[in-house]
Amino acid sequence: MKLVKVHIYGYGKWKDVSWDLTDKGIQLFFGENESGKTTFMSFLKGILFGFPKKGENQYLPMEYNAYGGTITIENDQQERIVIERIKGRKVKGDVTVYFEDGQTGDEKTLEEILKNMDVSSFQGIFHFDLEGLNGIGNMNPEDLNQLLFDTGIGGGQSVFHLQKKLHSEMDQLFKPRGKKTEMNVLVKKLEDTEREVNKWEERIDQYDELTNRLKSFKQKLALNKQSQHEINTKTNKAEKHELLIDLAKDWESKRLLIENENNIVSFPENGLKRLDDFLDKKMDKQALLRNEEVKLQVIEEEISSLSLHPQWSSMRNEINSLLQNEEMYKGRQQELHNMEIEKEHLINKMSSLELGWDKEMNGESFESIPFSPYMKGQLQDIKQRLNIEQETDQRLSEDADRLERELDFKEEAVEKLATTLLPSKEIDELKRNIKVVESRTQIDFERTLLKDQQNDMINQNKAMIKREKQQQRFFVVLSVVLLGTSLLSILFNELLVTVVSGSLFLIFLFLIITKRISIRKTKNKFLIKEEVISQRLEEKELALTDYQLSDVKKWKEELEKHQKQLSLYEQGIEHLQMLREQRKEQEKRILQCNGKIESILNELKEWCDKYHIPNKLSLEYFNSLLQAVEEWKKYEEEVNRIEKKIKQYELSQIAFEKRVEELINNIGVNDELSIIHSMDRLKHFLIEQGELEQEQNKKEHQRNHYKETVTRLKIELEEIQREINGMLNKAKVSNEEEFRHYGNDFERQTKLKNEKLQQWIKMKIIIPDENELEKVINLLLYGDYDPVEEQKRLKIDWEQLESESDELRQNIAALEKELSFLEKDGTYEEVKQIFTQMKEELQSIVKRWTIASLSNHIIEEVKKVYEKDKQPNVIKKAETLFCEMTEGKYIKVFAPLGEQRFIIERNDGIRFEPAQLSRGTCELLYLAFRFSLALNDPSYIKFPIIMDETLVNLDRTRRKRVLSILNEMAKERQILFFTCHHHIQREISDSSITFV
Amino acid sequence: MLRFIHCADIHLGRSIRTHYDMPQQLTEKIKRATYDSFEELVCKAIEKNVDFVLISGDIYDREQRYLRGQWFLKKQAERLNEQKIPLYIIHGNHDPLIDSKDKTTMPDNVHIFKKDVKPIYIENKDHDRIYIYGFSYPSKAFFDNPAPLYQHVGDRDAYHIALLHGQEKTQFGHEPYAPFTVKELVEKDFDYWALGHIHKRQLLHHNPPIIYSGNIQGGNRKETGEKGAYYVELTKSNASLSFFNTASVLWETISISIDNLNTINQLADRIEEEVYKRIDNRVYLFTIHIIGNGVLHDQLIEDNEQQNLLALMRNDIFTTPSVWIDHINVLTSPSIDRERLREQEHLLGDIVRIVDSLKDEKDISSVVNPVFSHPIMKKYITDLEEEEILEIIDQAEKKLLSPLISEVEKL
Repeated sequence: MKLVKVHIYGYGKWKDVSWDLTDKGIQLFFGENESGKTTFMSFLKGILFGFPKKGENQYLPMEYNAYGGTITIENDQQERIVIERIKGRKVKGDVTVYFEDGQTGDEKTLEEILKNMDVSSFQGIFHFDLEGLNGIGNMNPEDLNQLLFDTGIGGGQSVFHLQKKLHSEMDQLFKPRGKKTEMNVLVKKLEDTEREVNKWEERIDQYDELTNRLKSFKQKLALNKQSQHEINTKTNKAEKHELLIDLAKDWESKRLLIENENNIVSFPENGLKRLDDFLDKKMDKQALLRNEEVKLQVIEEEISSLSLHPQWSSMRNEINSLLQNEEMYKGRQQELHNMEIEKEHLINKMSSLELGWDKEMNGESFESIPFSPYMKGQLQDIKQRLNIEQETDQRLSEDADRLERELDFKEEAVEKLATTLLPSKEIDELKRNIKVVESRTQIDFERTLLKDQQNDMINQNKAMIKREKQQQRFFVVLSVVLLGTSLLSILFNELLVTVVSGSLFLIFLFLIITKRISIRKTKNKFLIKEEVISQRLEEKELALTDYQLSDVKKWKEELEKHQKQLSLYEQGIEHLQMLREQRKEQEKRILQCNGKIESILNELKEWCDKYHIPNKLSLEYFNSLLQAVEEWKKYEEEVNRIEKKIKQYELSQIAFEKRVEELINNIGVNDELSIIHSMDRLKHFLIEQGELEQEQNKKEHQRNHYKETVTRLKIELEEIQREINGMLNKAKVSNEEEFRHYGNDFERQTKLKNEKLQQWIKMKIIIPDENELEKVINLLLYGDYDPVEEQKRLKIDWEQLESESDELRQNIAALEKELSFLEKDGTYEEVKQIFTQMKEELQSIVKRWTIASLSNHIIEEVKKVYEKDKQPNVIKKAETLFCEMTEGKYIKVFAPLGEQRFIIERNDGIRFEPAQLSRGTCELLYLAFRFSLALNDPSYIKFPIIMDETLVNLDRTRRKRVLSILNEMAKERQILFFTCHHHIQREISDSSITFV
Repeated sequence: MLRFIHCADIHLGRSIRTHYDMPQQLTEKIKRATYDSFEELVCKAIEKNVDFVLISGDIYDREQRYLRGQWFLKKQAERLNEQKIPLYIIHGNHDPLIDSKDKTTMPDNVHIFKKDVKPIYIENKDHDRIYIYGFSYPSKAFFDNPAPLYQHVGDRDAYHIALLHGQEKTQFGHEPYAPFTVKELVEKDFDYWALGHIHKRQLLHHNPPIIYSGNIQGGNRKETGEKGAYYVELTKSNASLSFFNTASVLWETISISIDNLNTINQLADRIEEEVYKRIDNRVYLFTIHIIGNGVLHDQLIEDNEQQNLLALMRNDIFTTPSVWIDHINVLTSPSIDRERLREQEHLLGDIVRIVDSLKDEKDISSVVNPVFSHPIMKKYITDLEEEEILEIIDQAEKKLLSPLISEVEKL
């Protein structure tokens, strides 16, 4: 980038003035002091980076309105750009950038053009003045690096600001010894919370110990309770003892009183009163007894006046039973009469039955026939069998008649058939004729076959001869050729050919001859065969006769008819034979049947004899007779039964009558009375005696009652007396008087004893155990023991224990509350939750801090890269320039690794730090670095280098060397040199602008 | 048919890792969350009248004082006891069987397995025969393979159910206690494996079911979504598994893009809209990832802007006690081509290259040293995980690149 034109509208002393700048070598600006050099330089800076701020020298024109101007620059692409900055609302002024193509731009465009170089970088790199030279002693690699760094990145300021911001961000979050940063504040809270957590954990950790303590407290409480219980028991006892004291004293005094008196050991209970009662009762009973004894006597007399029949009791039952049977007796009498009539009727029926068969019976009676179902069955069997045999006999006779008739008919038919048959001679003739005619047909067929055979043979013969003749012809031609050849070879004296062809000729000649012979042989063979066949043909011809085929058919029919008639005849003969055999068989069967009938009739006879039945040969007779006998036997049986029954009834009637008679006699009636009258008398007796008996029973009952009363009263009197005696005995006295005296004494003593017993029971209620009670009474009456005192002592002990237990209970409640609290309370977890959240928060902030810190670290790392990679180039270039400027006196410039300083080595090997160098040399070193830096400008902007009187302190030689370096640099870079010194103006011979 | 509930990793008394300065009402709710969740589970068991309830380890955190947890478990066990529902428990790495016996006596329906696998035989109402196997950790660390400890007792017609607290070998993110493989468990021929230890619910195997029921209350922002237990209906041929939520406090993560958003207010509106889409009558703890690239990126990358946004969310937008924005994670990116930058010889390139080398090393200990070695701070802060370190490096890079980027663009 080069400045090609500067136009000031108004700036400090400058008003509407413009300069064209050279594009070759150093552009010198010469002017005396106050000529406007500094104003010009300020104008350049102002146009590029903004007018100076308030408080600085703003170079506002005094009597002129226009403020600002333009700078025309030419970029690397030789494009001219006009930058105009004029007064605006802002102090830095308003910028307009004009491009060659007519486009315009603003501040931003300008920044882009300047690649974001800021004014400080510009000052640091491209502006050289005396002030810089003065500060050279303090120059160190870090500053250099910072400069490099700042300029190396388009917006060096951004990185700077960024780093600054990062630092402030980090500082806001964390400072190692800070108190107010976010992390430090949070950590403080965390520490507090952790302490709280720990406190809680300690508290919870005490859980086990608290549990144990609770357990021991509870045990102690239980023990106390036990002790208190024991004290209560004791107190209880003492209270009882207290109650006992008065009772015991009373009881003891009674005991002593009883002990000292004569004791009546036995006396009836309530004796005196009981004695009086007994005596009163005794008198009453005696009076009653006397009364009853009188009544008894009267009734005895009344009973003895009544009289009953002596056998009354047995008789009563008998009479009653007879009366009951009286009706039955009458009924039986009637039935006997009926049975007699029935019997008579049956006997009549029987004799009329027998009378009907009287004639047939030959003097035998029905009674003599032993009728039984078996016998009847035998007759049935005989009858049945006889019937079957008779039927069979009849059937057989019929069959025999039928057979006889069939036989006669058949014999007649066979005889008729025999007359129709042919004689045997005639049949033989017919058969022969037929045979002859059938053989001629066979010969015809054979002859045709032979003729075909003969024709085939002739054809074959012809073909074979033809083939043989063809071969023969071929051989003839071949032998002729061979003969020719042999002849020619003889002519040409070819002996070998002659011999060969000659011999071949001979061989073929031989073959021809042989062929001819074989043909002849074959011909002969055929002729012989043909002859044989012809002969056989002739034979066949001869065998044929004159018979015709139509005759044969007629003969055959005749023969067939004869054959049929013959077979019919033979069948007839056979049938006839069979019929004759059947007739014989039939006759035999009839004879057998007649025999059987005979034997059955015999059997019937035997049956009649056995059962005393007259033998009449009619079967119907037997049936009827048996039927009559069966009926008769039935009536007989019935008669027997009735007779038996009559006998039984008669016996019963007699027994009844006899008993009635006996009873009548017994009651004292001796008259002969009928059964009916006797029965009436008996009834009357029964009623009379019954009434008498009733009266007697009543009296006896009364008597018994009086007897009983007397007996009872006597027993009661005895009992009373016994009681009285018992009481006297018990009191060990003999009379009433003594008894009454004893009685009074006994009552008094009993009362005393009762009172003592009452006391004892009262005491037992208090102490039920008698042994213990006795001991306690003894102790109370005769020992050194005061239950009231004892109670007081026990009460003190109990109260002491109670107060201890109260305390324990309070402790237990507190512990239980604490334990339950520890179990259920969520505060610990809440604190812990908050603690976790704080930690999480802290972790987040740490991350934020880490990001900032890491960003910073990256910047540092980038700087190091610059230090390592970029700085060496600058130092190297500076070393070269410095060496050149000092004519090789100083040969090395370097920054030791990790140290923030430069070391300069002289050509004699001695090393210096910049501060140790002379001012002039130091200025040279500064220039060398600055030139190197400007040449190594990382932004590649190639900005013009502005030098403000920088060479004044140098001697001429050094100045010349520096100028030569500048001139060299000016080829690549625009250099604006400001001076007020003429000699410098002269030394820089290039174009110059002079300010006046 | 058996009907039971399988849960694990109750962690009674475990604090929920959310941020500080919550409204009191919310803190109260969160403090109770684990207890509420377990109580809900017990209600479900009673409602379903199950045959039994299985807890596969880590009922409490022994490291925290678990007195209240024990008291609470006892109360809940008593509720189950009234319904005659037994409770089978194993202890895991967070609540191993230690020498000192538990301070609270549990009711009779609670069966706690000892350190050996000793099957318990029971019969349910349908007279099904059931063997329940399990063992408790004798101490916090248990590195043996547990599979050989489980020996089938025979009786193949009966049901065999195992409780196991440990890590399936392909899982990660938890201590590798009692490591086993699914194959080993399948070979045991049991009817159901009730697993615990891994907080993420997962079905490792279908037949037989091998299941991590997950924990019942999300404890940090990684444990998102519904949490609860499995209600199981088991026959010899089939298993019906249904998960039910018991958690009343849920962690959710939502991502909001800043694409096409121009102001922080628009962003806040978007967040509000998204959050209201997700919530119901339960309490939600949200992690908001802000992603995408847009004009808001430069603003959001500023730490104080992030803090302002968080404060706006917490104090002005979500005033209801059922929503808490736990964390806002700005993951927006500037519209830059890192690959291109890396190739360039200027400051941004240098930054990208340095960030890359940091990412390779994954070591920022020297940077964090002032905080992490601070005598007081170090007590309360947790070492950063690798993932977090990478995230921080990314954030730092954005923090640098974003303000510089506009200038780079002009180069």
